Amino acid sequence: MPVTINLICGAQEDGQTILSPLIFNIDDIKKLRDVGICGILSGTLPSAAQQNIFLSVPLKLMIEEAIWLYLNGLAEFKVLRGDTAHLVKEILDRDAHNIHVVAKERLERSFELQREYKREQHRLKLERLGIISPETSNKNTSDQSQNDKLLEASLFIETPTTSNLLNNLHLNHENGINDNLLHILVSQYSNWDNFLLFQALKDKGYVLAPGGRFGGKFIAYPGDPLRYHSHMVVRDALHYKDQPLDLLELAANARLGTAVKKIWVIGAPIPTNDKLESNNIPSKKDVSFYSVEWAGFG
Amino acid sequence: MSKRVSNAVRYKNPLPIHPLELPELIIHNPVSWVYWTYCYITGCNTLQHKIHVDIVNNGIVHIEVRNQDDMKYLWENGFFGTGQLSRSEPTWYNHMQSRFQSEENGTADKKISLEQVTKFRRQQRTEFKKQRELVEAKLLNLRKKGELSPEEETRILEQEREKLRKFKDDQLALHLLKENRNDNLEEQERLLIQEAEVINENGEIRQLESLELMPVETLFLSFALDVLDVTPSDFIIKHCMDNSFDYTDELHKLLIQYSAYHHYRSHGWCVRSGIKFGSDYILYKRGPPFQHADFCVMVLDSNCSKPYTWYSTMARVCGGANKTLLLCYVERINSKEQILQYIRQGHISKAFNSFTVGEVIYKRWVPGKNRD
Repeated sequence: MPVTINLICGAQEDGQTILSPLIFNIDDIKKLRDVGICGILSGTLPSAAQQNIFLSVPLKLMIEEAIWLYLNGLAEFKVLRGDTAHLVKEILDRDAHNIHVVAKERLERSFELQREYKREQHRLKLERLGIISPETSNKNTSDQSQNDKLLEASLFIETPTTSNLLNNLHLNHENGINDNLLHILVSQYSNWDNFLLFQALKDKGYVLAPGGRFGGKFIAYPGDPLRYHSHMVVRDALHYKDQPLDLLELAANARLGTAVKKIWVIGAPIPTNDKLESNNIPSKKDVSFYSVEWAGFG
Repeated sequence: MSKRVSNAVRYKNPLPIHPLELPELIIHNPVSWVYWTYCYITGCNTLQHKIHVDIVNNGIVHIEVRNQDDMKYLWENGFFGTGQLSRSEPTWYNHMQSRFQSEENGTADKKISLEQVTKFRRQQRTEFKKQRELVEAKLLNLRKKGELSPEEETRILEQEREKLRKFKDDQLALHLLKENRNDNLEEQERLLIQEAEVINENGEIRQLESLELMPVETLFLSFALDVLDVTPSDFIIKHCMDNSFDYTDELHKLLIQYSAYHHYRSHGWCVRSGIKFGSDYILYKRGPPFQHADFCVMVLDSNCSKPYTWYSTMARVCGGANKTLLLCYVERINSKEQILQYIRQGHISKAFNSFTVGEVIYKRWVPGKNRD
């Protein structure tokens, strides 16, 4: 049973959407901890708003964690709240026809159920009044057309208070909305190379956490963060074949890493000659890492 | 140096240009007026000869001072340049000499270079760490076996700690005894091979070291002080612009870096490269032999904005070395074309006047630690 990642959407001035992946269910959080996804607890109590060490749900995930979980079939996305107009618009552009058909079908079905119910009620009422006998009740009566008109006029159309589109659409649409959300996550928050680094380290058994404190993208623990100190500070993916690395950055980060007894790691997917591949999102690629340490310290 | 010269005397002058020394003026002795005036008029504090620099430009510009006296002079008067084979002061020749002497005499020379001290300290630390690892492995093993009561564990822990402490004390004591004669045979052999290249036919040590100047130092010494035998515009045009008149990123970087360098030098700071701390410059009140540097300077464009991680990394690195991070924002106030024209016409000071400097201190503020 996949866990549910709730996405809070927020629109920015430049038309971009921010998505924060949150998890509220404690059992889900336990499950994720077992697969080495730790996230960061981010909830405070209204009565003790200043305290910042003992935090509670929701658990906030890194984007890479959310993507990894989704791609491994361990989670599905759900839009919780926020300004979703932007999201819906994209879906409408692509799937307007299907959505229309689904909505119409759903309405027709509701009408059909209502009709059946009303006819049944009507029949029972007539029986009770003794106008028709139970034996003949199943036969069509002469003023059928008259009754039908009244019946049609009395049908209800439900105005939903929640969006069926966002909550349930993926059930009918082959995860269309999930893929769309994934797309937004990838394109706006992170770059795919960083995810590949994340994935490669995850495959090697590391547990990753955000590395802002140590001047990196991630920090990598050899196991659960409660049991181990982290060993590595991982930098944003760098295509070391053609992207330059600032010497001052190298010195500063190697120094910082070594001072906190960690190794500074630079990684990137191994470049391939295949140009076509770059158009699609490559799912798995070989990643190579280099580590930098300050040799004479202390 | 036979006798140790005190630093205050040795580094008397903060710059390679010294103030004019005029004779005493005696009010009631007109002859002294004449002499004073004569000295005043004829006195001159430019150098006897300009210091020669060799500029190698093979993609990367190397500026080297190879004359022994000039190297010493530039170091002692304002701490310019870095010895290529030393930590900063070009002392390689002296080390070699003292080492050869001590080997010849067979007696331990009391004078040890700073580099040797550091090397020795690092060796000690590695040895200590090895010991500590052994102790930790031993404890872990016992714990794994599970036959360790808490009381027993504390007892063993205390015992091992005591051992480690003793080991450290012994190390220090040994250090006092044997000084630097701790090299093993292999090390000796390696050194012998190295030394063969160092000695010339007459059995004298060859000076292999030269003093390397940063481009900004070269500019300062030629433009602001005029003690080098290159002119600043020549230097910029030939070596920093490759004779092309484009306002490249490299040129811009040099100009803002120099503006900042000149700014701090002219306010009396001793500015040296901050590469050790991942920054552009570090600022000393007087110079490296006197005290540690107080500030790390990052030179940035006035409109530069970096990701937050960058600031936190820099602040952490500087904080860890007990320095303050100074963000130096340099703003260009004239157009690029204008600046290029100034450089072409040789109005270097006008080109540098096209920049203004402002600075901000970035500090990590910890509520628990900043109460006083």
